[in-house]
Amino acid sequence: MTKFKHTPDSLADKLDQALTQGDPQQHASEGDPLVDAAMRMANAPKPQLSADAKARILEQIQQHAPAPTVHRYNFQPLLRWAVAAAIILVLLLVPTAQVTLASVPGDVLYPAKKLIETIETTLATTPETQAALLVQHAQRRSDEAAVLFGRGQWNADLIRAAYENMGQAASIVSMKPSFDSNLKNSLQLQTLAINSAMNNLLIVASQPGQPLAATVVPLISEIAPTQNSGMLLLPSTVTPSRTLTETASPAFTETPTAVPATETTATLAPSSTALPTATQLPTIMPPTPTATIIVNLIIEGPVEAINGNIVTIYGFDVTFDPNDPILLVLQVGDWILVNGNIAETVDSTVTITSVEAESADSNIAISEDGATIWRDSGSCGNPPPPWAPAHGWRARCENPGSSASNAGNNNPGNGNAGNNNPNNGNNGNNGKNGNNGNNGKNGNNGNNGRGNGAANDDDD
Amino acid sequence: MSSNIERIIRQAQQGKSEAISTLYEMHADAIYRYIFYRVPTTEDAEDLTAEVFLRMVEGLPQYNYKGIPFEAWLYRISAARIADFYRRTKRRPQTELSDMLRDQEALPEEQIQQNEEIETLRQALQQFSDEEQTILILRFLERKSHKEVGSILGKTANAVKAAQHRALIQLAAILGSEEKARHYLRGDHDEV
Repeated sequence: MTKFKHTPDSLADKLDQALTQGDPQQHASEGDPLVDAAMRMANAPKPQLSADAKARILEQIQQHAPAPTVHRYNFQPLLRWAVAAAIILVLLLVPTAQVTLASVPGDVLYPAKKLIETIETTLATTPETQAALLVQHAQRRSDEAAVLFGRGQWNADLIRAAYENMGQAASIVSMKPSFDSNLKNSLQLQTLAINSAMNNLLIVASQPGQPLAATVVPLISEIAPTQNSGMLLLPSTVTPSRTLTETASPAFTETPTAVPATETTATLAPSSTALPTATQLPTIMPPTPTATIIVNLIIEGPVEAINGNIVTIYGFDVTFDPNDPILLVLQVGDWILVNGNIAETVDSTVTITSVEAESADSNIAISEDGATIWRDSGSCGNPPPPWAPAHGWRARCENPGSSASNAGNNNPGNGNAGNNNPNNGNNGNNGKNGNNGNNGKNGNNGNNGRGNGAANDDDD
Repeated sequence: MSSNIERIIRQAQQGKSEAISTLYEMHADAIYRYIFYRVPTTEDAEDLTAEVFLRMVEGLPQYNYKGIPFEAWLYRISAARIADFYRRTKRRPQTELSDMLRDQEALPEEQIQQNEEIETLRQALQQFSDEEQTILILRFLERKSHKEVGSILGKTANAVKAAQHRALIQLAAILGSEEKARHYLRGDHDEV
C-alpha cells in the first residue's frame, strides 16, 4: 500500500481514467490495491431481470397504476347529457378550447351554457368587452326565442332578457366617451339586427290565428317603451328619439304615425305592409330556427362498433375522417381517446366529429404526425418502427433469451477474448438463473458467449 | 433532466400506462442490480425490485420532478426497501450460504467462478454502510461519475470522493484477505 499513496482526489482521478478506458482490467495489473478493488467491482457480473420477471413486475405495476386523469366515464344513457355538460365546463377552463353552445331553455345543456355566460361576464373587465358580451348574450336570447318558437313554444323571458342586455350595453357605451368607435359601430349594427329580428318574431308570433298570439301580444306592449326609449344602442340614422318612435311604432301598428305603446297593443294587427323595419334593414336575416350545437368533447373508452368511418364509443357515434389512418388498425374492443366536436344532435342521438384521436392501447402506436400507425399483431414477425414504444413486442421479441444470458454479458470485458472464456453466455446465470438451481434450463446452454456479449452491450 | 424525461414523468403522473412502462423499462435493470448485490438471493432481489416500482407508481402523483432527479428518487426508494427487508427478515446475508453457492455441481467451472465472485462481492459489500455500498455500486458497477453519485446521495462530489477513498481502502483489505483465504483453502497458499 505504501507504494500507492492516494488522496481522495488523486484516487478519484486515477479511477476516472481507469473507468473511461476500454479495458479496465489492464489497470488491475499495475498492482494498486485500491484501483484493483475498484476494477474488480467494475468488472463484476451485471445481472439483469429475466424477461419473465420483468414482464411479471410490469404487470404488477400496471395493476397498481393510478387511474388516468382523463376519467373513463361510464356514459349510462341517463347520464350522458349530464356528463357532456360537465365536460364542457372542464373544457371552458382550457384557454384554447372554443366552446359554442346553442342550447335553449329546456335542454340539458342549457344550465351549462348559462354558467359559461356567467363566467364570461366575470372575465369581461373592460367596458368594451362587457358591452360586446352583453350584445352577444342578447343575440343568443333572441336566437333561443326563435328556436323555441319554431318548436311551438314561447318564452317571454328571453325577449325581456335580450332587451335588458342591449339596454345595459348601451348604458356602458354611453358612460365612456372614449369607447372604441369601431366597436361601437359594430355593436350598433348588431343591436339593430337583434331588435329587427325580435320585431319580426313578435309580429309573426302575434299574427291572428297563431296559437301563441294571446301570449305574445301583451309582451309587445311591455317592451315597446324600451324600444322607443332611445336607450338602445342603435345606429344614428335610427337613434333620434322621434325617428325611433315613429319608426318603431309602425312596426306594430297599421299606420306610420306615432301611437302610444299602450294603444298599439289594442290595434295590433300587423300585415305584410306593416313592416317598415324590413325596408330599413334589407340585409338583416331572420333568426334561423335550427341550432347546431358545436361542443368540444373528449371521450375515452372502448370501441363498441365500427361502421365505415363511424366508430361507436359508449353509444356515441364518432365520425372519423375517412382517411384517418387509425381506421386501418382500429378494432372493436380497442381503447381510444377522441377529441372531437359534437356536430349534431337529432332526437337523443349525438354525432361527434373527430378532431384528433389517439390510442390508449399500448399495443397500438401512432407516429407524432399521425400518418403512421403500428399495431402489435402478437407476432415477432411484425416489428414496430423505431419511434413506437411497443414495450410488449420488444419485451417479447427483442431479447427472448436475455434471461439466460443477461448477467455477465454486460460486462465491458465481454468482447475481450483474453478476458472472457467462450462460456460467457452463461454468465447471466450467475446473476439470475444460476442461483435458482435451474442449471439444466439456463445454466448449461454451452452457448456462445461472444454472440450474447454482442447482443447485450446496451449497458456499456 | 431533459424535457423528454419530464414529459414522460408528467404523463406517468397522469396515469398513462405507456409512460409508466417507459419509466420502468428505463430503470428496471439498474435498480435490480443495485438491489441484487445487497440482498442474499435472486428472488429477494426480484421481489424488492417489484416493491420499488410499485412504490414508484404509488408515489408518482406526489413526485416533484423539479426536486431530486427521478433516478435518485428510485435509488432512495430502493435503499429504503432494502433496509426494510433486513428489518423484516432480521437476518444478514453473510450469515447464510447464498442460493448462488448451492447446487453448483452441474454448473460449468466458469460459471461457478462467476457465482463465487458475485457472492464474494456481496459478502464484502455487507460490511459497508448503506451509503458506502451505494457509492461502490453506483461508481463502479454502474459507472456513474462522482457528481452523479453525489446527486443521488444528496452529497457533493468531493464528499463522494472522500467516502469512495475510505471505502476502497476497506474493500481492498477485505478482498485481499478473502483472496488469501481462498488460495489457502485451495491448497495453493505457498504461492501467495
